[in-house]
Amino acid sequence: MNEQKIKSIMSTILKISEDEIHAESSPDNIKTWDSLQHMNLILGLEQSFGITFDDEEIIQLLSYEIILAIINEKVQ
Amino acid sequence: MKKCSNIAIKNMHIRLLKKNDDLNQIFELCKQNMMIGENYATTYDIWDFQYNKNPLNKSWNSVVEHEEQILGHIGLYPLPLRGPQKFFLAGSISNGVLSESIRNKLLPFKDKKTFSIIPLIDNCASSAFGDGIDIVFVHSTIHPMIWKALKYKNIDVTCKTTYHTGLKGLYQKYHNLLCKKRVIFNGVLGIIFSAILTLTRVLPMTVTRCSHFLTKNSNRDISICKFDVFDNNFKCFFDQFNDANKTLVTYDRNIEYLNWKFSQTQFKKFKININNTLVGYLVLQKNNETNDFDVIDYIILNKHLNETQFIFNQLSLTEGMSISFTHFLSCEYSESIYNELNKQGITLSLNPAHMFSKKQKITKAPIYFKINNMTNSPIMLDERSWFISPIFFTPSYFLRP
Repeated sequence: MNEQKIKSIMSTILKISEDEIHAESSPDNIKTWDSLQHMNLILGLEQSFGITFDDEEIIQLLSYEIILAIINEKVQ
Repeated sequence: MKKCSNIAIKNMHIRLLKKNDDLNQIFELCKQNMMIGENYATTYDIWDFQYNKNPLNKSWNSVVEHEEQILGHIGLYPLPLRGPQKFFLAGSISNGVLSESIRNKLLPFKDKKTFSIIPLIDNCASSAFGDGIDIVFVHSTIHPMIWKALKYKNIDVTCKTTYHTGLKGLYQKYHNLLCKKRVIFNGVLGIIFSAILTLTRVLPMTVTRCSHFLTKNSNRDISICKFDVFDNNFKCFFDQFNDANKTLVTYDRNIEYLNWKFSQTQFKKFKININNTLVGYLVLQKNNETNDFDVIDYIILNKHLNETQFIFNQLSLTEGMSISFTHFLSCEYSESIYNELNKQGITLSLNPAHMFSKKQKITKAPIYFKINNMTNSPIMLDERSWFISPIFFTPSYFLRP
């Protein structure tokens, strides 16, 4: 459930198809994942899941795998 | 400029600007990355004024470098602040620019890796904090989450704009508004509708102006005079203003900084005397795009705040000025000025039925600050006590074409 929602948000903000998103997806392999889109992604995730990330997490959320892990922890 | 599309992290690093660095690389970077237009890019004159010729002759600058090529810059210039019973030296962040080619590159930051803009800002602020700067202040369009990630506090500021003009200025404003927004109103139609809209504003303008003239104290003698330099006569006025506003956190209006900040010729400075005593001042800047004047700074002693309407009336009627005042509402003092001017100011609406409407566009100002944790005496600031005016913002803002 969370996986699908995260992929959908990432796909919209980073302008890539959901099929291109996998565990290792990160700014290293997604060209559109720059600092601006990263911050938009954080905001999008916060609003969609009704959660907030602290300053450490904002910096840490740099791959799909990490995003999923942190969100799963927060929405439990 | 060399194009860098694939940059390895190992060859990229952040460092402080050196004396022998080629500034042209930064100016070129600004030109290529300025979102609001090349004309607004930093030039050598702006750089020199802001970073070298400020009253401290000091600034803090950090760059992202890759193989001797500068691909990012951020700067801090001194900003004097006065808080409750205390003077602070702040650094104001300006000229943040990053080449598109490195915006998704990650660099080390606190045992992790993150986007280069974050360690770049941190490097510059840390350098200023290391030199004893008390606060880093920023008014920025950089994404708010970046400031959150860097532990900056948001100052809760709302912006509202009031316009002050005579009939001629009002007509011109409507004419510009109609011709810009509705091409059909070009020519005769534009003239007719501008005149109709202007007339719908005459009644409310006249009512508010008459009521103010009728209620004013006839014993006082107000004069509004142009001046060029802040001289020693201002010292007593600044002391009185500071004594009456001890809880405010605001720009420390001292002669040295004001004469630096407003040394350029495009400013019009007015001092306000009541019964031959200096009680306030107003600095305006001509806005070339609209031919209006923008308020850059306005303060008046609290006991004369109710004269604000009269002052702006005088300037719009006798000097024929159209004045636009962006109020940064964050404290009681700024709200008092706004409330006074909102009674007299006009609202521009293309609907004649809105003649008495005072509906205004409200926006949040992206203003943040971070306190130096390394200072010996911890600084406590009440966020509701910030009194902010455009005087806070980057001097380069004043030097735009």
